Amino acid sequence: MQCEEFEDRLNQVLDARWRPEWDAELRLHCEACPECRDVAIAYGVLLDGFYALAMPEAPADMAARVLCDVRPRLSPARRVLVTVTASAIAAGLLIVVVPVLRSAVRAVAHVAPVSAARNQNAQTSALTLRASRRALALSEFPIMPELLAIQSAALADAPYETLAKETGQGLATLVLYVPGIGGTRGIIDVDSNTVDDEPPWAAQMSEGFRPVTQSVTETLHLLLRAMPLADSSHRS
Amino acid sequence: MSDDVRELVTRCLRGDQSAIVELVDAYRGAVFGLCYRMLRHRQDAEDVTQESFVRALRSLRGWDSQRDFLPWLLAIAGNRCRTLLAARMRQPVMNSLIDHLSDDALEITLAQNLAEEVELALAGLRFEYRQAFLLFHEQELSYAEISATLECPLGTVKTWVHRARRELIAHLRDRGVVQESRHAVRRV
Repeated sequence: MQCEEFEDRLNQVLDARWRPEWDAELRLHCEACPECRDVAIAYGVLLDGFYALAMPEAPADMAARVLCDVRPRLSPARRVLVTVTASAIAAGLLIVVVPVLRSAVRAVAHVAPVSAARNQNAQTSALTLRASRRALALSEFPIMPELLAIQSAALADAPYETLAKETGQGLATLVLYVPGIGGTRGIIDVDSNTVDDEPPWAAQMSEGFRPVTQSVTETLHLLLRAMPLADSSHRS
Repeated sequence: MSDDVRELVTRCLRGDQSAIVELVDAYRGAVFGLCYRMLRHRQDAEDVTQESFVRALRSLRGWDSQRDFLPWLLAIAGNRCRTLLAARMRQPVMNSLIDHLSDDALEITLAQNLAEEVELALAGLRFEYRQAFLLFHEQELSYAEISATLECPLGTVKTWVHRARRELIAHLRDRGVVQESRHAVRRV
């Protein structure tokens, strides 16, 4: 090996993540050439120094910071717009829906007076269910389809913690994707002192958040109260 | 690439926040490490790390699951570092003052040991050389992975790493850490 080839060879050895002293050619050349040995030593000093560099620990709360940034977010102005629009639509629809509902109930009661109450309940529930889905689908919030499907399931009244276990969804996901309940995304801040005794899902939320509501049913009722849209396509 | 990462990414795409936490915790060390070395400023490195993860999560659908995840993520982080460094360059008055102050401070304090000398030398490297050197030696990516990360030919990456080593050694020689004369390497 010639001296002019030495440094290239040394770089190739380092590229292969080998140690220069393991390479017979380099070792032999170094034994014969003090100049090239100094070059090899200089590379060794550089890498010794580099690998001795201290690396500060990455912030432990990085995940929480990232989560804050990636959650869906509505601007305050947009929230006001959505609320006002929803209220206006709700008022308009109530004027139309209530008389229709009354006449429908009267008609059912007239035909079968014994089961009138049961029929009314069933019809109202069905209408409410459709209305809720319609309302939520129409809104621009990123409601999870799974959550809407849960409304009709046996788990609808279960606490979120149970629901998360049964559905395999992260509890934070279930709750944070329901907007409009206490704060912008279905969560409220809680005093960090109270978090210690919370169930495991509270810790999962990492920032001391917990849901305002206790179940999907309760959440949907709250949503309906805010946006009582009717599904006009099913009314007739 | 492990199926675990693919599954984690799939869960993130479904909006599973616990998966996001897992993903960030798994890679925050690597991303922060690169940002810190590139920017030499802890607060900036934290901000860029955070921004990189947010960008990565928002463009997660664009990740090719046939490729490794880490190089893709580090490419985003590298680009964010480049953007920040470019912004710093556009603030000449502030930067020159900071550089001047930090250089003075470095003269006094950083010459204390070899590692700090190397850190100082790294800061003087061209952006591409520094990034390639760090990805190879610190993140231990292969040349093929670095080539994919930086979207440039493998041969170019090798050249950058080799030049980085040579320039770092030249810097150490200039600083008297490594002397040119025979048998005269001095460790500070």
